Amino acid sequence: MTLVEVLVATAIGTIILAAAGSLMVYNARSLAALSNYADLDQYSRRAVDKLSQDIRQATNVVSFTATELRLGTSRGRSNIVYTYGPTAKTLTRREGSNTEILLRECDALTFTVFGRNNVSNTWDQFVVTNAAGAKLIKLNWTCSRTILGAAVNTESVQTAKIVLRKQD
Amino acid sequence: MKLQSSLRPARQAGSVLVVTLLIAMIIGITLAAFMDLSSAQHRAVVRSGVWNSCIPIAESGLEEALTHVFLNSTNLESQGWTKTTTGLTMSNSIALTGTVYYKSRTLNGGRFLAAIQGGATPTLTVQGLLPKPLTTNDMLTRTIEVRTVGASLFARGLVARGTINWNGGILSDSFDSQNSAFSTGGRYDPAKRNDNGSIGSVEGNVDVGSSGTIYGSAGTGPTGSISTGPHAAVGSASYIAGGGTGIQTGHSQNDLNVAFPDASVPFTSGYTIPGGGNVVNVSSVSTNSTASNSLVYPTSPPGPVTTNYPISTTFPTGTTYPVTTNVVATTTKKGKTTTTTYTTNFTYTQFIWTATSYTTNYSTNYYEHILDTGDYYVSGIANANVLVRGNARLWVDGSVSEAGGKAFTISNTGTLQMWVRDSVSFSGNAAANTTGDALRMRINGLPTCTSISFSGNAEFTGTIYAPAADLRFNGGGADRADFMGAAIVGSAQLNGHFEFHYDENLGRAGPSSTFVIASWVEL
Repeated sequence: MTLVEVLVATAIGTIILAAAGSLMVYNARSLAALSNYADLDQYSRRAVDKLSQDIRQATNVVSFTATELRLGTSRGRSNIVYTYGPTAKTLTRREGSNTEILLRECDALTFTVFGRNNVSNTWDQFVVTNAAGAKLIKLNWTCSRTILGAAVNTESVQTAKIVLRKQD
Repeated sequence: MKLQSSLRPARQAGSVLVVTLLIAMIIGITLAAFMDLSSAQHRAVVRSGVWNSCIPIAESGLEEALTHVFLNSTNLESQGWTKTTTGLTMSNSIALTGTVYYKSRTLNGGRFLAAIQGGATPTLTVQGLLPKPLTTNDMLTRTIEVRTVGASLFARGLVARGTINWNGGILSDSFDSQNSAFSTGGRYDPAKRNDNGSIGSVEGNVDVGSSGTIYGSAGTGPTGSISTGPHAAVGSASYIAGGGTGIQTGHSQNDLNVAFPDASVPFTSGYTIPGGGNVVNVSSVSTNSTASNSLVYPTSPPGPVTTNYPISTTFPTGTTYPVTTNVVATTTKKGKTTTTTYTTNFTYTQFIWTATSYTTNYSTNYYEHILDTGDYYVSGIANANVLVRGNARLWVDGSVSEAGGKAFTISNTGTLQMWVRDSVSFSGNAAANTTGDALRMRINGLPTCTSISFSGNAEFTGTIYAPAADLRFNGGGADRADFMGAAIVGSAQLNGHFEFHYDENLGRAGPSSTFVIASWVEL
């Protein structure tokens, strides 16, 4: 085996090892990203499901802001309060003395409240500012996950519009 | 330079292969993890979609149940609904007891099972079922339990699809024909008015005019407006009594939303054409009553009267006021008691009437149409007296035009529901149901009925449902009994002196527009 052959073999080996290493690092990051997406999706699904159920069952909207929603309930249950904490980046649900965190690492969240009437010739409803006129709640949030400190995964929920089912 | 090659030792043979296999294995495991994660995510997403889709499936069953209890409330075991008296066990171990009406329907790969537990306000339990991903018989199930309440069709006094325009001293207030605190003899009494005489326009504006008064609230849809003149007032009774003008805070809304389904005649055959004739009316009058004590004492007695107060339980018959009678009084003067009989005049100011005999009076009236219980048809009504003695349904395949004191008379055992194809007009002291309550008479305007008018001191007690009609009131006359009941119309123009009195009993006992959801729970 000549020196040239050794050098060529070494170079080829290095390239192959570098490619394999890069592939493994890429795979690891991709796997982490995929896991993050699965995690984001799972939490968002659960949060939407819980919020949807509570809003559908609500008797009325007691009060609201862009980051807090207080729902009246029927059949002797306590009011349910959803609160977004921009500092903690969490969405919490409180019913009586029970509190649970539905979303973590939530970068932004907004509740928008609409009335029962449609804007003419559209499928949109009129935005209301008084809780008594609330009939439909729109949810809008963005959550993210990080890999090695960098936020590389985001998920935005923008299409959840839920109607209070109780009729006046 | 050339290096000498040499054979590898046996223990190093195949190292490249091993390394390659290790790398391949790592890559393979990674790929497998990728695929497994992707597959799990896909399954979770699909399952979530199925889970969410169960709600619309259940809601379709709920819609069918709500429609059924409204349209077939007296015959729930119909339209494919099955009755069981031994309860019903549904999926997820949900058990209903007692009499249950249920129905299942297949929809788009899934199905719903809807159950009705009857009563005045039925409870509906509905399940939406869809197969889990990659299965056909393993079902995901979501259950909704809904308690209902009947939504009143006439929840407020005057509702128009379009504009409501007042011009003049128009007034809207309310009374309660079933509450003596807010009515007298079941009729409107201005001294007992209440402040629920609300009005609303769904697609237009409300103009109360320069001096209109609404004892209640005014509402519009989101794009409507409410305007009041300098002397107009909308608010509570105390607000208006206090001289308030304009719209009192909290007495307006901009989210009025009412559906206006077309009215339709519920029968097209099996009707009769009503005949007319003389009807003898019998009335009884009590006479020969008795009266009791006087509250006026003889003037200037010589001392305090301690006994023999002038109490009589028998009215002195054959006399006129004042009545002369004797009073025996005992007076005390310087320790000496003296009994004196005074003759003086009394004014009887308090009476207790007791009927002891009756005088029967007869009168005969002619009615062009006499309706008993049943379905009737006429091609039109023009200046005719109509008597309703039973629960009648009348299809007027033309117009109703009453004037010259002609009237619809509803007996105390009768009700009239009338469907009118063309216009309705009451004028010149014409009247409808002037002695009954608003529940006893209802005018339904068919989609071709575009005009309903009241003028010339006409009087109406009842309800009007005519979503295509323009309602016009012109001149209610000096009396205050103009319109008592409720109306849902296309638009409304009220002129002159007219008073609109909403009967609050219609909100409780009046017709329901449908059953609506009082509470919704997902089990």
